[in-house]
This record gives sequence, structure tokens and C-alpha cells, in this order.
Amino acid sequence: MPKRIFMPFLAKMDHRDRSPWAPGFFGLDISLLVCCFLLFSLGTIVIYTALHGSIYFESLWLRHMAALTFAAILGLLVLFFPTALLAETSGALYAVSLVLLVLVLFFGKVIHGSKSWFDIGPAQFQPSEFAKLATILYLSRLQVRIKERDPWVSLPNRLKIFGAAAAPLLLVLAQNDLSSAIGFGFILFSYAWVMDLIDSRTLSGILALGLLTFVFLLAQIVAGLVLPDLTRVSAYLSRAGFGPGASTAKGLLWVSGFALSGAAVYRFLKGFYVLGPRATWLWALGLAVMLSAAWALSYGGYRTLKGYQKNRMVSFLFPDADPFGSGYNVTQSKIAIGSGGLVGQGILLGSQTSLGFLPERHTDFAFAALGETMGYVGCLGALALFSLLFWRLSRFAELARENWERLVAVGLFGLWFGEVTVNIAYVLGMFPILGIGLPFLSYGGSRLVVNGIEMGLLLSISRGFYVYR
Amino acid sequence: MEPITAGSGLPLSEKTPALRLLILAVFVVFATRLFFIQVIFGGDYRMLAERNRFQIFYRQAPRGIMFDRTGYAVATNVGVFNLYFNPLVVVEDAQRRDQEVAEVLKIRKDDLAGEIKKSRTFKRTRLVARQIPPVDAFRFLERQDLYPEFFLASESLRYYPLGNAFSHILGYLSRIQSRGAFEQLRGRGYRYDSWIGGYGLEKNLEDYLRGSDGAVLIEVDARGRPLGHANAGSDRSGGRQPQGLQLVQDSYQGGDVELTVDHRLILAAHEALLKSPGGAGSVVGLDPLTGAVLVLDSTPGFDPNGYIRLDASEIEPKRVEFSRAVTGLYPPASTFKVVTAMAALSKGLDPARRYRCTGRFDLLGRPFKCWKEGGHGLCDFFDGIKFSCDVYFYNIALFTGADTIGSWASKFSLGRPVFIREFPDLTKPGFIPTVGWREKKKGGWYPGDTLNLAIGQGEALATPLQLAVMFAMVANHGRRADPYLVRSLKNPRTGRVAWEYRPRSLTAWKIEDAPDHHWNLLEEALSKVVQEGTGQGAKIPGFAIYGKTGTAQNPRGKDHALFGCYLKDSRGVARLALSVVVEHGGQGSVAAVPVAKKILEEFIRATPDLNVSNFSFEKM
Repeated sequence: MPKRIFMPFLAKMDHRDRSPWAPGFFGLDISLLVCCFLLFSLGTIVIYTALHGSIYFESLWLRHMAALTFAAILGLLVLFFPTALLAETSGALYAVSLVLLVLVLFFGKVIHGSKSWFDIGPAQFQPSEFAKLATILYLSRLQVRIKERDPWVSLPNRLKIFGAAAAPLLLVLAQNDLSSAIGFGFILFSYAWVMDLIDSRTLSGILALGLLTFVFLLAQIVAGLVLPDLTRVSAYLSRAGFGPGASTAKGLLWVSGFALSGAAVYRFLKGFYVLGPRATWLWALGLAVMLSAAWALSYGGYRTLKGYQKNRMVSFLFPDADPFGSGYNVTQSKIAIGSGGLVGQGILLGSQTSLGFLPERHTDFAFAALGETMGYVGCLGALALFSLLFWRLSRFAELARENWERLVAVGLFGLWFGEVTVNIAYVLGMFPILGIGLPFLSYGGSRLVVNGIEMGLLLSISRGFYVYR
Repeated sequence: MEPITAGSGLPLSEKTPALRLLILAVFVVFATRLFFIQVIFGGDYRMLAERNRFQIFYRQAPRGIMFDRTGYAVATNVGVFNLYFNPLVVVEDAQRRDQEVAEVLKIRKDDLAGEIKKSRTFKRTRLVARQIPPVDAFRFLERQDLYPEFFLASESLRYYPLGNAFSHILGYLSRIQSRGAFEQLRGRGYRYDSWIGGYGLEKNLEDYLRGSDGAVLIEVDARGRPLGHANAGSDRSGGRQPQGLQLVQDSYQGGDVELTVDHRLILAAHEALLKSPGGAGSVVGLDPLTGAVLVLDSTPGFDPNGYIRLDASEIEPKRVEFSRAVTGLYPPASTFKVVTAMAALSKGLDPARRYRCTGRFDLLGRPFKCWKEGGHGLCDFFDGIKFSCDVYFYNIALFTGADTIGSWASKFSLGRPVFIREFPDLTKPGFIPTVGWREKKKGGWYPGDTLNLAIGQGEALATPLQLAVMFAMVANHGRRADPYLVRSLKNPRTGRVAWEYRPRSLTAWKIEDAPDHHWNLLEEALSKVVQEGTGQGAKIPGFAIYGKTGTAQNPRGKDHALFGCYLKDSRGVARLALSVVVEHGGQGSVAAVPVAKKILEEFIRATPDLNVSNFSFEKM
């Protein structure tokens, strides 16, 4: 331990400590290194393409370049310092990030309706991005500590873990920053699953509740939209995938959605079987409780959701209903991606991106800009790159020397995998637009800097893979 | 070779295979979806993206011009410049450029910036500044090459040189008022910023006047540089096209219209009505032979140009769209005595028979007054009409009976809808009480009601147009011509007459059961009204003018003054039938007659062939 802390780099360069077949580039994981380099480069190209032609090009491009420099500097710093240092300070980092999240509620600047930015001179700083990393670090450390003392993780300890994750989640919700809250949700969910914090019956119960709530919510929104104007019911139904001209993809989506929620409900109810094979009343009770809870939750959601959020849901279901209103984003996004074709229009030559028809083209819809300029080849490349990154992260969860490092990999996997999946899904019109950015590819200074730090940390972790003990 | 890993109490290795499965599943789903969108339907989406690069910009066609019978353009067009902004053109330092353009054109920077922001948001070429004076426009055109994202296009705007005086004939133009109205009109080629006739001839001849709009294609390449050729096509509005605009469809001016009215008469009528005691009222003048409307004025009017100007006030159709001449209802008062007289003659009235007027007439113990307190003494038919003696008419009304008077009113088309051919929607039938109606509604007809009807008071109501038609029928000895306003429609490109109104034969509507000598008796009496009686104010030496005054009692204020008359030329042909109503003007002989005289004088001045004995080529 002392050796790793005080002579980290030299120690790992020592051949006596290493396997003769140890792969790597100066002891670093080559795949991750390639991912890191290509993702940052691709992100920079996409952002340049998307910003080109914008009236804000100069200032935004300058900020992106500055953020990239910061990311590189901080990433290298983290890479050359021992990971244990971060482990030891994770509590402090977590505390600082919580304080920042509280402060931003008072002194923050409101951008796009959420109060989650500090305005510091020429740039803005989004503490929630920093808090995501700090939370991952702290939760990893906390769980390892708890696991050492209490291998089965008793309920108070589980509540402690959940509480540590819920604190920043609630704080970003208070900022009206739904997408960051969902990011924290991804982190928490991945830990809960990987660490068996929730048994599978409860998990399927929560899943079933969530899916049912979502379906009920959509039903309420559609009913609120359609019922006052019954003459348009058939038009809406045909657009939603029941009538002529409906797409197969949307039909499949409905079927899989129903199947998934059905399976989750079934799994949840099957859990009662242990109480006795003939306890059918329990089944019925469970189902009733589940349905009414989902209905209550969805009703609450329907009451609290804002108009534009409901519109997004509606435009997800019926993108053609209002192609120039709430459906504009997803319509133009699909046009941009589709017009890319097999090999793309060429960098700076995509009309949807250059002429500004694609909304939020450098942030939320950066993947659509990529699709238009680089085509199917470029999209598959980016997908492959992300898949490689996720695969490496899943390997990191097995290979890393320290348990807390493995959990860091798990947390980052949950965060990035969730963000990438949701972002690409809504860009492709397969999910309601949630406003979650794409890691590495979307413009965002704070996110880019934090991504740099995370990459540095992961590379640093990878240095320990093949070291004998 | 498996690397040596630290033994851990964490169950991670059990979970990671599921993670990899998840990665694979997500990859496959997205790759499939992308394959569908990009490879299979890529062509369709490419087409949609291409369509985004093109924008069609429409220019409204100039409307057809309306001329009066003398060839004076009473509704015409003036050219103005509008500034458009194309958000697809990519430029550097856009905000500074916007400010420069605002300075060049002398428009407010904030307004321009606001419009440009909307244009950028909706990604549509947008009109950002209206009605730019030519001086500023040309100063901008000199610098056009520096600002490819802006362009000027001329628009022809409606202009009504005579403003108020023609407002109730021509009506007004407005932008489409509501979203609902737009939804109904869009199928007919209207756009949200189209002008459309809101009232009057502009509304009723809309389809003929509007022409067909032109279209200009705006195209930029994928990098936001304007494409296309300068000076493409030959746009009628002229001017050089900036880069990136391509004319794809010429605009065609709407059809020209020739009206039957004479602007000199209308101006005279308008002025006279404004100066009259009431300041408000109407004049209707018809050509009795053809039904051509020679004068039509309703005062007060409104300013039709006001709706087109930049600082346009809100249109209040309820307040504006009330043409007194066509839809105003007034008691016909003593002018109705024409009807009573004809009815009495048809019942065999002896015109020489004299009735004594003492200023009052007692019917079953109820006194009915004559308008002159002392009375007129002994009156025969001519005196009765000349002095408008009420007591004389009470006597002959009792002799004639209410039913006969009512049927004669109907023959003169009182109580029936009378309308100008071009305004079929603007009509009121008026009202003549009948015995049957009264018995149904108010419990019975009394002899006193016959007396009220005989002098046109009580419940009787008529429009000024009906009165004019009535006097035209007297002039024609009972033949009626339908009023019309549009003499011909012209093709603006060839100048040829495309359609011309052909008056119906005068015998189509004719009062059959009155012999000519009855009409002659009435005419003689009406002539005496102007020569010696209540209408003396309209006497013009050397011209045959026939008329009848009226003073409509008005429970809500001062009496309305009425005068109906017609003019015959030296060959005995009726040339002009007039009805004048001065609201709250007081006595007809005081308020309405001078107005009629002004118009008659103007008509005589404007019509050289009236008096053949006086005719000379110098006067033309």
C-alpha cells in the first residue's frame, strides 16, 4: 500500500511486478486509451460541424477548446496521481459537491429553465456534472467499507447508501434539472443491481410500477388531449400506430412495452408464491395495490408535469401531429439522420445541421449532426466506440485491483450507458425527449472537463490490472 | 492467461456477463433502427432535407383598378418596398450586420432585431420591415451585395384617392382577421398575410379583383450561400433580384372594373351632406332608364386607407359597415304621398275635387293635424301635393282605403327587398303596415291608421335606395330598372372589356294598371312642388325637375329631412332620379332640398347633352 501511494508510476513500470504478457501502452489499457482519444476527437469534430454557421460560433468554439484543454490537464493530473488519493478524499469531494448543489439553488443562473449553473465570468460551471463523479467515488468507497464490516448489508446500511445517492438527486430535482436527476438515478440503479441491494422481486416490483406509471401517464396525457376533441380520436390513433400508415417500429415498441410491463408485473406477483400456492387473494391484492399505486403516481405526475413536458410525451407518441410545434425537434432530427444515408453528406456539408434546421444540434441532438455528416458508417462507428467503452468498463469491474475501483467502473458504466442509450433513443425517435446529453459528443464545458477527469481516473485504474501482488 | 486479480467479496463477476448482453442488445437495436432510417429510407429523408433548403416566397398580385364612369381611378395601387430576411443565409457577425441594415433603412433596431429573431426561430424567410420609403430602399439597394441575407421586394398597396367619399361603395381591404377565417381561405390560395376585401365592392368582387399571386423560389446551398441567378425571369414589379432569388411564377394583376358612378357627383353629395344641418345622411341617384347608380353616398364614411397604413387601427366592422343609403331605414313621410296619390287616382279620384284644410282633421272625435297650423284652405290634387297638405291626403286616403294604398306601396317595391346588383347582401325590405299584419299583431286596424299610412308616418319604413327607385319608377311611368354599380369588367393585360352589364328590359317590372294620364297628373303635381311648392329650393331655371319633400317625425331627436326628385332633359327623357335623406336635418324643404340642388347642378354641369336647345360643342 505505501509503495503504491508514494511511488505509483515507477512501481508499475517495474517489469518484475508485471506479467511478461501484460498488454498495454506504458501499462495503460490500450482499448480505453483508443476510446478516450477517438471519443474526444469525434466530439470535437461533431461540435465544430454543429456550431459552424451558428451566430454564436466564435464564443462557443472558444469555450469548447478551453474546456478540452482543462479536461486534458485535469485528466493527466489524475492519471499521474494514485487512485487511492481520490479514494481517501472522496468523502470531502462528495461533501463539497453537495454544498455546491445547495449554493447553486441560491446563487445559480437559470438556463433553459433549470437553475443549475454558476456564472463565473466568461463561462458557466455546472456543479451537478461534478457531483455525479463525486457521488460515484463516494458511493464506491462507502459500499466497500460497508461490505467489509457487514457482508450482507443490513437495512440501515442500505438506507445509508440510498440516502447518499438520493441527496444529490433531490438537490438537482430542486434545480428543475430532470436530466441530471435521471443520471443520478442510473448510478443508483446500477449499484443497487450489481451490489444486490434490492432483491429481484422488489426490483421487478419497482420496474413494474415504473412502467405502469409511465403507461398510465401517457394514457392520461393522451386522454386530456383527445377527449376534449373527440373528432380527432381516429387521427391520433392512426398516428399512434393502430391505423393505416403506422410504422412497424412504433408497433413493435408498443408490443415490447406491454410485454415488458406484463413480465415485470408477473415476476412481482410470482414472489407471493412463497406464501403458499393457494394464496390467490394475495395475487389479487398485490395486483390491485400495484395498479392503484401506479395510477396514483401517474396522476401526481400528470398534475406536476409542465406543459412542454407533456407536449414532448405527446410528440413522442404522435410526431406527425404537430410537426412544426412540439414534434419539430424529433422530426428534424430524424430528417437529419436519415439524410445522412450510408456515408453521410460530409463534414460541414449537412444542410440540416449547417442551416440550423436541426435544433440543439451541438448539445442534445449532436448524434443527429453526426448522423447527417458521417452517415450510417459514422453512426455505427460511434456506436461501436461506445460499445467498446462499455465493454471495457464491464471488464474493469472484473479486473481492477481494488474493490472501490471496480465499483467506480460500475458507476460510470451505469451513468454513461444510461445517458448514451436514452440520448440516442430519443434522437432516433424511440423515446420521449428527456434532454439528456450524449457523453463526449454533446457540447458542455463542465461535462467535458469531468469526462476528462473520469477518463484519467479509469486509465489510472487500468495501470493496476496486471500487477502481481 | 487470466490476470491475477485481488480476491474480492464483491459478486461482480456474476453480473458482468449480463452487462455485456445489454451492450450487445442496445447496439443491435440502434444499428437496426439506424439502418432503417439511414439506408432504407435515407432517400426519403434526403428529399425532406432538400425541401428545407428551398423556400417559396409569395408576392401578392396588384389588385384590379376601379374606375368611375368618367375614367377616374377611384381605387388604385401604389408601390412600396418591404424588407425580407432569409435566415438560411450563413453570415458572420450577424448582429452587427442587422444593426447596419437598420441604420441604412432608418428603421428601429429593436423592431428589426425582434423580427429577425422570429425568422431565425421558425427558419422561414420573413417580412421584417414594411413600407420602406423609396429613398431608403434605393440606398439599401446600392449596398445589396454586402447583405445577401436581406432583400427588398416591392408590394403594391391599395390606395383610395377619394378616401371617405367612396368608402361605402368600395369598402376596405384587411389582412385575414382570424385563424378560423384563414383555415377556410387557405384552400383558395390565400396566405396568412394576404389582403382580402372586407366590405363593399372590394369584398363582393374579391375573386375578380385579386389576380393571381407570384412566387419566388429562395434557395441556399448546404453551407448557407444563396444560389440562383441574378435577374432571373421578368417580374412585373421590376427591380433587380438579389442573388438567390428565382422567379418561378409571375404575378398577374386582378381585373379592372368600371363603375357607373360619377366621382364629381359623389364628391358634391358628400360635401353637401357634411355641410347640411344634420351632417349625416345619404344620397342615392339612379339613371331611371337603365338603373345605373350615378351617385351613392352615405355620410359619415370611414377612411379606407387607414386600414392599410402601417399604424392601421383595428377594424370595427359593426361601426364601419353601415351604409345608410342601402340599409338605413327611415319613415318615408310625405314622399309616400306619391303612392297615396296614385292609389287614389286608381280608385277614381277626381283631381279637381277640392277639400278644405283647416289645419286639423277630426276622425271619430280624434284630431289629426296638418303640418301647417293655420291650414291650407281649399286644396285640389295639385295643391295637396304642392303644399304637401296632410288634410287633403287624409280625405283621399279614407276615400281610397288602406288595402289599396298598401298594394300600391308594394307596386313601388316599398316593403320589398330592393338591392344594388353588386350588393345582394346589403338590403333591407323596409316595412309598410297592412291590415292583415295589424290584425294579427296589434289587435286591429283603425281608420286613424289609414291616415298615418297615407302620409308615410307611423310604422312605415323605407331605405333611401327604395325611395330613389320609387322616384325612378314615377319618372318611367311605372317601369322599374334594377340598380347596378358595375358597368363593365376589363382585362388589365389586353385592355378589352371582358364583361358588360346589359340592363333588363324596362317592361320586366311595370305597374300595369295605371293609365298614362294618371302618371301625367302626378308628374304635373310633382313639377309644381319644385316650381312653386315645398321643393322650390331645388328649382333650376330651364330644367324640368320633379320632386317631393318629406319630414319624417323622429321620436329620438330632430326630424329627418327627405327629398325625392328626378330630372328630365329637353327631350322628356328622365336622366336622374335622386333620393336625399339628411338625418336630424329638420324640415325636408330646408335641409334635404339644398343638398339635392347641389347634386342636380353638378349633374347638369357634367352632362352637356341635357338641354338640346342649349347644346353647343364649346360646352363639352
